Amino acid sequence: MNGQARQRLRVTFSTEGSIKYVGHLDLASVWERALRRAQLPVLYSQGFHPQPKMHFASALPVGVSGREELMDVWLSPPQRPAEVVRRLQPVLPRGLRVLAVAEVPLKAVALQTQVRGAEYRIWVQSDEPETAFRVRLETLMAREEVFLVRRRKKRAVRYNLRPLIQEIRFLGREEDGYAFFARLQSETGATGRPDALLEALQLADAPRRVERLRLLGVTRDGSEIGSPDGNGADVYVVAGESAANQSGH
Amino acid sequence: MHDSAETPHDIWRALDRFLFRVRQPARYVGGEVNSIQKEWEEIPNRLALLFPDTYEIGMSNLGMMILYDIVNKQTDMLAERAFLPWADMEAEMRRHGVPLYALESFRPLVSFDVIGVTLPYEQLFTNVLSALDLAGFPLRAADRDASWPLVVAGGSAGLNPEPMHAFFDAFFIGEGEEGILEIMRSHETWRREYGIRPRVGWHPGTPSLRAAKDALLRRLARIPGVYVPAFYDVTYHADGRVRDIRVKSGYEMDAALPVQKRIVPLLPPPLTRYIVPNIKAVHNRPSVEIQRGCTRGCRFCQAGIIFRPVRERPLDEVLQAVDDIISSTGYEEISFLSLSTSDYSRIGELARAVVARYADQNISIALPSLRIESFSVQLMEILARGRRRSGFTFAPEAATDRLRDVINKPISTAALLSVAEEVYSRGWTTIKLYFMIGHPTQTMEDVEAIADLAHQVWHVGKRHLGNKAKVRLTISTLVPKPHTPFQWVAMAEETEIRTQIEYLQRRLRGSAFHLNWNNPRETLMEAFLSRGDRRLADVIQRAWELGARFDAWEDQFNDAAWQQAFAEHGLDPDWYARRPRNLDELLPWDHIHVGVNKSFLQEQYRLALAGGVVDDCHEHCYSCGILTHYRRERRQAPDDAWGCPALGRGKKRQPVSAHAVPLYFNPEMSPEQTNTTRRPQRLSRLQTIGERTK
Repeated sequence: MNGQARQRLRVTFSTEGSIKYVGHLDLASVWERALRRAQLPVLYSQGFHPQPKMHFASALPVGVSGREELMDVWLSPPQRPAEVVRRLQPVLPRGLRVLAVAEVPLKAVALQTQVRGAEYRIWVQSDEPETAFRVRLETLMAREEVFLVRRRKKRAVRYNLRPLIQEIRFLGREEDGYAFFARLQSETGATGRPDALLEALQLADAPRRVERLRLLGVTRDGSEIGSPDGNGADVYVVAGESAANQSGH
Repeated sequence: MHDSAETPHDIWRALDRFLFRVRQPARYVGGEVNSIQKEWEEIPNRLALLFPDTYEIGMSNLGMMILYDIVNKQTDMLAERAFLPWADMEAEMRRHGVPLYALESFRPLVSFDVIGVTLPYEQLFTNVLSALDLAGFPLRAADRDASWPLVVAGGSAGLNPEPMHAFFDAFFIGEGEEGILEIMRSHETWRREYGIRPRVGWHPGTPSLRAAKDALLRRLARIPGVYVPAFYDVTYHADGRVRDIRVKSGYEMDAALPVQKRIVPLLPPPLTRYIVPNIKAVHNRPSVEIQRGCTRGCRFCQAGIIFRPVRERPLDEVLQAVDDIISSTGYEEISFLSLSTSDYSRIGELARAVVARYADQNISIALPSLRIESFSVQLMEILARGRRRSGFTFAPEAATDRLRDVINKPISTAALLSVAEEVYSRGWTTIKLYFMIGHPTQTMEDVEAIADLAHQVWHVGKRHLGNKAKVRLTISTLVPKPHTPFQWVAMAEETEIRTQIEYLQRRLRGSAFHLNWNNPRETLMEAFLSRGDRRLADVIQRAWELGARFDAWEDQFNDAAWQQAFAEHGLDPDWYARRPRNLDELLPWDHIHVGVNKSFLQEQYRLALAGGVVDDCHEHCYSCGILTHYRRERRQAPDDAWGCPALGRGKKRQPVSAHAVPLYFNPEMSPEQTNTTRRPQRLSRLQTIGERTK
């Protein structure tokens, strides 16, 4: 191990267009290569297969775009967040954008364990009347149990989706379908997925656009939720990118 | 008919509605770093490069990427990519009326001027039909008038173009770096003259769309290396052999006979703006071509003949390319490409230089195709530097000294075992060995020797590593390829192949060995597709109609479709694959000249049967024909840029003979000639063949 100073940076980024079809593992190599193109001194693990030290808050399902995704990356020697943004922005593939970079304490809690939930904006194609669509959403929320089967490796696991759905709100008619907002629990071993929600709504095969608006429980700068000023660290927010509290309205 | 999506907007909108339910949707949306999206309306010359297999396979093809780069460097041309969607995506596209489109602009293939199809191997033939059909094109070139884009094929599988002659307007034979631009320019001039835009219609002044197409094809046929199948007539003997191949009357001034392969005198600057796929491609790394061609002269090897002459890229150019690639792509691995990497004259320097520069940046370096010698182990040692030492790959191709002399790959078993010793003693746990069965003169003894050799290698490993030592074997069957000294040979009988594979399975059980082999039915398909004549076009189309596609994918191979297609057309796959040809038979591909004379191949075939081993042609030129046919190109290149001797007075030259005098004859094959051993005329720079002649 080298004795040089290290730094942990929290990167807020968005994905849309082509890049939303890239799976989580592939997205990690997209980042690894982007960081190398940007010539940033990423810290690597030791051993036979050195891996860049990068942690993502939560895997985005294939086909879902993310408005405010988070990852931590470790650099050595440390760099100014503004410089990191400046070098990364021009080397990212189409559809991937950096919104903010902040330095967080090296000892901050792992991103993944902080995540509590996620908010989604979902549009589905539908030619049924608005009332029927609303009833569909309301009926689901009125139920106490919604059992689904999830394939894990070769096993089929039966689980109750209903407690993982925290909120559903109808947003309105759009194009040839309807948009709604959903807040789903997202914790290790207890994660509600948008695809499962659509399945529970009997819309499994309907054309859809799913956008993850934000992750709940984590902050851009590593501060505790609810502390108004953050931890006072150097946060570089890319000009023109909207603030942290976007919602689905 | 359902609505069809025609504009980029329609296509993207349609895709966004069904991509969520297809496998690996990132294949279908482009948007990668270094892909080039030009302003469509501003660029008059538009090429779509089509690789007729999945994105992951096609994106690993260097040839296609080179052409993409060259064409996009022209300010008035654009090149885009298209790949064949997997069956689930194809079904969705058909259901939603989305035609095959290119990944940069999301425009359908019909809106391009030229479609350039990459054909590196024959198992892609049925996929070509899928792609044309999904793009909405009539399959047969004869059914496409001038309003359709021109469809041209290039790549190794086009060197016997006959089985696919009906579907392509033209084939480009050889290296396309210059030819692709000539085709694009020629198409541009023709369009101006006739006022034609694909699918948009034609100027009222033109005689007819058919006549216009004819004019285009004549123009193309005059470009060296372009083969327009429609301009040739082929006749057959009653038994099916080719009787005659001639230029159709009226086309003598346009079409060449034979059509000679194009080459570039010097390797053009290496590709450095590699597209970085957002998902894993099959070869998930960029490569720098350090050398083209091979001087070894292995008699089964098609690449060794068709990529002649050998041309080396200067070391400083390679190193610069590595720098540029890493900084423009961010890849974590890079590989050096060559048919025989060990033969690159400055390979040692290259390995040390890249390690010095990149080892501490977590970039790994791959060196495929290493020769079986201790120098290769030293090279890998330099590159491994503390990383995991997994596998080491060698290709002896045959397991007895005798058979290796027949195929002109003379490594001794003793040498192989001593290299294995070095590999295992330095901590590599696995040696991977490639063998071929079905070489001419092979007996069961030679097959038994494969198992014996594998056991011997494993015992070496066991001494050093105990049960951690592994041997992996890949057994393929010889497909006698066009343009090789073995092109006259019959492929082995299926029962024989099966017996031999079963024998090897029995002998190589247990966790120490891992055995891979090819399905003999798939090998048969490769053989008839590569050795076929024009009559196969109907068979290919019928097999495709019956569901054959993705033939290179083991799990998709549809043997029944092929059998039925052959039966319906009264043809026999074995007649193509398993019939020994006479040396004087006119072969279906004889009008395609790869620069190596047929007389040279015939001589090598005779020497094979006599067990005569010839030098690496770096050491001794045997006048294969390359220098005769590429005199002009040789003069354009610096003396040391080619493996072939320089032309002209006062040049430093290696020995040249009009006929190959072997270094020695294998004593089992030609006992009467054992005393004719000749010493190499030149001190071997590459230390290659010397050992067996000491």
